[in-house]
Amino acid sequence: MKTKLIRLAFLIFSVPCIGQNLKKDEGSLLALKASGAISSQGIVKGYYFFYQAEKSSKTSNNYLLQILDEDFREIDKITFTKPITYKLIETSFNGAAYLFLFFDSKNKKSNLLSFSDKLKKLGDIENPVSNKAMLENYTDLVNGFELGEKYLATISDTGFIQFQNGLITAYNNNLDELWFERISGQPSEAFQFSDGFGFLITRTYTDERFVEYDLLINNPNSGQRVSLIPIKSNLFCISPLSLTFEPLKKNIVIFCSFFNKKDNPLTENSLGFCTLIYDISGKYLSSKTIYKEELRTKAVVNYNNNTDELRDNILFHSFIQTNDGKTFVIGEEFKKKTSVGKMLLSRYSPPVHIDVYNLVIFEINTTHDLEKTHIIKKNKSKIFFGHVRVFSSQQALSRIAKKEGGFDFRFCQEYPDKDIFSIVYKDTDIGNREDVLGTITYTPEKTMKLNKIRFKFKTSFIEAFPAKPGYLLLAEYDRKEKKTDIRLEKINY
Amino acid sequence: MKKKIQLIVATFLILISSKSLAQLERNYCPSPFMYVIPEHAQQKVKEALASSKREFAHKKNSSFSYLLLKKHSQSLLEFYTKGLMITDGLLQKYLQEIVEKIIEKNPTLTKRYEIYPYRSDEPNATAFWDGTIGVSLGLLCRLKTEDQLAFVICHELAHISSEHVLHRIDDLTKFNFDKELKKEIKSAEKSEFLKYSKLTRILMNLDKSLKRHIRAEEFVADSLGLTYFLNTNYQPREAIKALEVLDSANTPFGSQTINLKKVFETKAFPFNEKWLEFDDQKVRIIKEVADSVLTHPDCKHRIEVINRILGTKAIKQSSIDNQPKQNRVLLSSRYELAESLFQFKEYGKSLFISILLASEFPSNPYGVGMVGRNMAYISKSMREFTFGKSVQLMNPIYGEQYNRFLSFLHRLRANEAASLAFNYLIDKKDDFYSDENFLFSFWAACSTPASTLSPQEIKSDYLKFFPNGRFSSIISNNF
Ligand SMILES: [Zn+2]
Repeated sequence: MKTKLIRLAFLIFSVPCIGQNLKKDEGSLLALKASGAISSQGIVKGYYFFYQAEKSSKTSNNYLLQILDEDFREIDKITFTKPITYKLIETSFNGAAYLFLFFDSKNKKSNLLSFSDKLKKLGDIENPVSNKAMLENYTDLVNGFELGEKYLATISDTGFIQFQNGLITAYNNNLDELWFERISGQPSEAFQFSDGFGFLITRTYTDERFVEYDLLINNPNSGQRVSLIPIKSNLFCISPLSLTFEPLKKNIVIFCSFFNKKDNPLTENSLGFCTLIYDISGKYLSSKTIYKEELRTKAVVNYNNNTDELRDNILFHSFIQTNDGKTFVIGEEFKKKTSVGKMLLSRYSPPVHIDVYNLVIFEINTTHDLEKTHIIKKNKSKIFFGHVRVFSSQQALSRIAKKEGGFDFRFCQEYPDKDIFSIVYKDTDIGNREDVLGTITYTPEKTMKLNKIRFKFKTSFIEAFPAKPGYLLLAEYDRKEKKTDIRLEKINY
Repeated sequence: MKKKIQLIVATFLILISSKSLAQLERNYCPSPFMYVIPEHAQQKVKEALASSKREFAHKKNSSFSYLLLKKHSQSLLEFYTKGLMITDGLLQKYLQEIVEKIIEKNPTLTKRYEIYPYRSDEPNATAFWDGTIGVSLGLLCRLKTEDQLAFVICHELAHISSEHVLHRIDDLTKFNFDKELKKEIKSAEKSEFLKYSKLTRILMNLDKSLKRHIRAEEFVADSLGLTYFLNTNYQPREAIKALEVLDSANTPFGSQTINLKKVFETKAFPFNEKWLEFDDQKVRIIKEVADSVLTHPDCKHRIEVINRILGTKAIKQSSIDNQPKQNRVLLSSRYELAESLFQFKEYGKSLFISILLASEFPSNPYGVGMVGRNMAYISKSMREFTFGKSVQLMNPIYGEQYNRFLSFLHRLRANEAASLAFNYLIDKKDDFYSDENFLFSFWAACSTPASTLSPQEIKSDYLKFFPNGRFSSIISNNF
């Protein structure tokens, strides 16, 4: 005990001085359970740190939730007590309120907890989870499997939407139910536009090993269904990658990979990608296909002295629409290697080993034609993908990859005016024993600008996280000082 | 002895009034960074420790107290080894002179006192138990008159003569061997739940009680310091001004307005008004800092107390208040601070001070060079992901002027910052090319991508003019 007190003595012990001195925040014994950026409409608004604090009884845990603002300064922290069987599934922020989704594995209940932006508690509702698929999902998450699925979406400033298999529910910030809609399948993506909500619904048929997709459009106020359209083509097998809304033309644009009609999109290589365009009532307007062969015929802009040809397999990470009407598709080349290992659960693939190559950006013009391809050379890296669900969609895979940090793509930084965007990636140069942190920005001059900086393995370890527009959050571990410096860094372009 | 001092004062005053005054207009050469403990300082600590060991001998738990005292001495010695103390130069001599003036009028002050400016932008002053006083450059910059500075020094002298460091050590020793406290901690350690919270609470209470002592000590230092101060010929009311300066401590370098457009507008690179757009919504207060977590009492409260004392005492001179211009020697601390902050890679702060200096003394190449140099390094930091270390984020506690300045820097793109640096300096190159500091700054700006000149030429000019110059090793490497 003596040592503890001595340590305290040194902490407080300071020489007398004349100015004001702030004492550092008290340190505490907390176990970090989850942390991340809180975004609203793709813009980072803050960060959360969710800790398990020390126990006050055998049956419950104390949790501490700390919220930081976009400048990484603490807004506040709150503590609450929940049964020990709780697990944080997802967080969300709609511009005015925070939402936390928990799953209680013992009582098979989901719990939504909402707070104001000043961390005043607004709502706390529990719902039993009876849907079999949903229960399996939650249980898998508790058991540490990565699903990459999303269960929450936002209604700007006023509420949230919860996705469950077979059910979409809308809440206000106090978590009073606004409306709900029963559907067949798992809702996965949502976007909000002035006159409604669009959802991507995924229906998986385990026995047929195929996945079907629907586009659902709802009225934002009443929640009434406007339309439900299957996303498919007579010629190809279609796998949607992203759902966006073009505010200028008031169109819904679905970006997809396409495959031979008989091929399984989860195992076969795609033929290329296509754009499907609908109006806001869900009426199909037009489509455009870009075959893989065509990709190679278009202009290629190389970065980092790239001489590689475009490779066949690309995992898509991000789809950005800029206000000049262009679409940018950001992906990373990869090659799946023979998988070894036994199946853990039938619904999961054996561990997958993947080689990751260059970063690729497809620049698509206003008429949905490919204009050019940007290839950013990186060093080949091997990653172990872990167990992923056999029926995981591309979006889900990409989310898992991002979360596990396996791929070199880190995140895409969007800006409120949508005139520019930045992509942040990390590369490892084993030969020189260096980490490379790179950013590629679509500049106001409508060109791509690459900026990168090298960090020696010997001196530091770095990682980049999403931050407010124009910045990235850099965590730099100084090996000599044994300290981590977390700070906002400007993205240079 | 007295005569000797007066003689020094006299010669010193002549020195200040002629040489240094003119120097600020024409040039400034900052003090070099010394990373060594001066012989006499080391000796002083050694002697003081030896005599304390003898004094402690009869006390209870003296070895623990002695350990704490050694720790305290260590923190003093680190001021030297980290290069923070400015152990020489006009500014240091000026501070020492004020100390001598105060001692002269206060015969009870018998220790050997040594005072140094130290490199920090935080307005603060520190007293060590061996009689060493440190006054931060940040505080010196903000103080307007010698009188204000004298009060700050009196306050620190009072800490030393009241042996506050030793009192604190006694407190901590007492706590460390307190039987009741030990029992409390043991019982907390045994508890099944909330063990850590209980322990933390005990320590927090301890901390609170220590802070109470510290705050009490501050009032003692204020009132005893004021007694010393009133014995001198300084203006009594300046004591309050000094405390007011401390109260505005969060506003970096005061609230001077700077016209960024006027500073950086050049024919070759027109100023973009967009850089000045300022969204004060983004600078909002998140959480008020509770007074109870501050180690020092609220300045307003301290001012009240001083006012009360001053009211009861006869005031020797009527104070005529007409905002005196800042004392010239004190003003030179701004140059030292600009230099120190640049060395600490705090380019944002250093740039702010440099802009103020360059507008006040446009024919001094040092300040002008520092504006361009800091901007060049800011541009470099943007490319290297170190901008976040070199330039602060806006913060409501800074005040609007400084936040506007920060907002401007955050709006710049790396190549824009580089162009500003280059074009700013190239406009001034004809006047100052032969100056060492300026030439180094110019080399830095010419090494940015915005430059149309070759940095190689500047480098060889520098090495030709100043073969043993301050920057010859830096300039030999790449920017
Ligand atoms: Zn004090």
